[in-house]
This record gives sequence, C-alpha cells and structure tokens, in this order.
Amino acid sequence: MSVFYDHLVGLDDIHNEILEFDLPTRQHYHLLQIVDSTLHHEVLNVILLEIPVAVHEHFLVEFNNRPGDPAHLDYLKLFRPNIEDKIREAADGTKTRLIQEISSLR
Amino acid sequence: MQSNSHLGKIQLMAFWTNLFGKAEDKYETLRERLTVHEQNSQEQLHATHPHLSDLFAKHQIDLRQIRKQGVRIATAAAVLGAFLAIPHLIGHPSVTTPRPQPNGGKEVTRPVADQSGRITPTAISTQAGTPVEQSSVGTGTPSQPEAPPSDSTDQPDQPSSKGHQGHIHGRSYLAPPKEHGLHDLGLHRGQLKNPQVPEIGPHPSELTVNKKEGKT
Repeated sequence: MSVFYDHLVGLDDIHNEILEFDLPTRQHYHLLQIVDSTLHHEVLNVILLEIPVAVHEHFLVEFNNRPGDPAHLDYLKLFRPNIEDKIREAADGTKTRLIQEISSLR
Repeated sequence: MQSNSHLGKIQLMAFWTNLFGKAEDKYETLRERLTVHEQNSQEQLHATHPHLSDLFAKHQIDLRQIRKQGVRIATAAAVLGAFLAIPHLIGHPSVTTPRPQPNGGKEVTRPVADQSGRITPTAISTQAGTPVEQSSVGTGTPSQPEAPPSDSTDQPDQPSSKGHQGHIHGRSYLAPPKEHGLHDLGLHRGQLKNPQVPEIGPHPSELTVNKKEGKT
C-alpha cells in the first residue's frame, strides 16, 4: 500500500483498458502514473470537502509525513463516518470518465 | 524475381514502421488526453480550496512527492520481505535458538560494572553452556562466553568439553567403515600387530578351540 486510501481506489480497470493498446511497458506505466495523479487530486478534493477547514493543515502535514498510515482514515472518520464511501464514489466517477476517454481512442 | 524480393522487403519495413509509428501515436494521444484530465483535477482542487497553495508552500508539500514517497516505502518493504524470505525459499532457515541443556538453568555469578565503574558480582540466571554476553567496560578485555562452574562431580552424565559431536577421531558416525577396519586398532594395511602395543595374550588366530566331539 502506498497511500492510506489505496484499497478504496483500484487501478485495475484502467490498467486493463490501457493494456488493449499493447504499449511498451515504460509508456504503459507512465500513463498509469498520470491516471494515478488525477485520482489523487480528486480524492484529496473530496477529503478536504468533507472535513472542517480548520483541520486541513493538520491533516495535510500528517498525510505528507506518513502517506500510508491507516490511522489517517480513522482520523477522517471522526468528522465523516462514511468517508470511505465518499472516496470510493469519487474514484469510481473519475475512473469511469477516464476509461471512456481511453476507449474512445482505441 | 529480384524485384519481387525487393518489394517484399519494402512491405516488411513499411509494416514495422507503421506498427511502431501507430503505437507511438497512440501513446502520445493518450498521454495528452490524460494529462488534460490531470491538470483539470489539479486546478479544481486548488479552485475549491484556495488556501491549499499557502499550506503547500508553508510546509513544502508536493502531492506528487507524497505518491512517490508512498511507492518508495512499499517497494522497500517488498524488497526487504523478499530478502528475509530467501532462506525459507531455499529450504535452509537459519536456526539461532540455542539447544536447551538437559540439566536446566544454573545460578552463576558474573562481574558487572556499576555506575562508579567498580566491578561487582551480580547473580544472574543463565543456561549452563550457553554463551552470555559479558560487559567489558573498564576491563580492557574482549567479552568471553561465560564458562559453567567446574563441578564435574555433579554431572556424571555430562559429556566432557572435548566430547565428540558426531565424530570419533575425525571420522563421522555416518561415514562408511574403513576398507580393512584396522585403523581403529592403530594398525595399518598389512600390519597385523602394533609393535608399540605390548602383547597381552595370544592373537585370536593362534587360539585353538576345543570342540566337543560328537556334536556337529
């Protein structure tokens, strides 16, 4: 696990979609990195919308220091118990958009 | 005939060029489209939370670095796990646990340096025969394994310190017997008697066996 919400945001769908292009490995993973970065921004946007502005700084500093610490999720649940669902919904919506974009180029 | 083969070569080259060219085009197109999505999500994040720029600058936070740092940690953990699993994968896990001695733990004393630097004996419970790390502070000597007390009379069943461990005189228990079997008697091939060993009695070959007549 690289960041604490990775188990809520799978890249398998995108990976399989890019596989259809039969690209070299380096190019394939470069595209996956761009998708990963996009999802990262979207998820962070949702998280910051769900927690008070007063704790944004504290959360960002802690997240920057320990990206993979599962305790972050417990901290977020103090403010929004269903934060996992919110993250999953945001990730799924973004992935659907990206898959449509990718498949249109096939 | 020659023109046909030439045409075939050109077609083959065109095929490979086309193949790679198309793949490169696809990659570039994909990259451009996906990058647009990435930039949009980033702009949306900063538009929704305008105070983030100040926070990122204040704490030197880079969202891409967070991801890379997480990936580095995951990679390091995977490499470490694979390294630690090597002995088990090849079927030779290292055994570091000392064997328990049959006579159990014994109360022994060893000198320990106190805060003033003086060495005072302290009672500790150790397994006899088990090496114990000894503090060498102020002694100027390297640490030595703790020797068990020399009360050999209490341990009649205890093997001696020079005891063999699976070997007798350099030969393993599991080794096949010697060809002529004379080495264990201190003899060599072709030598039936050891001149250094005084004879106690007649050689077994010189003994005559009286057999009772009538029995078969």
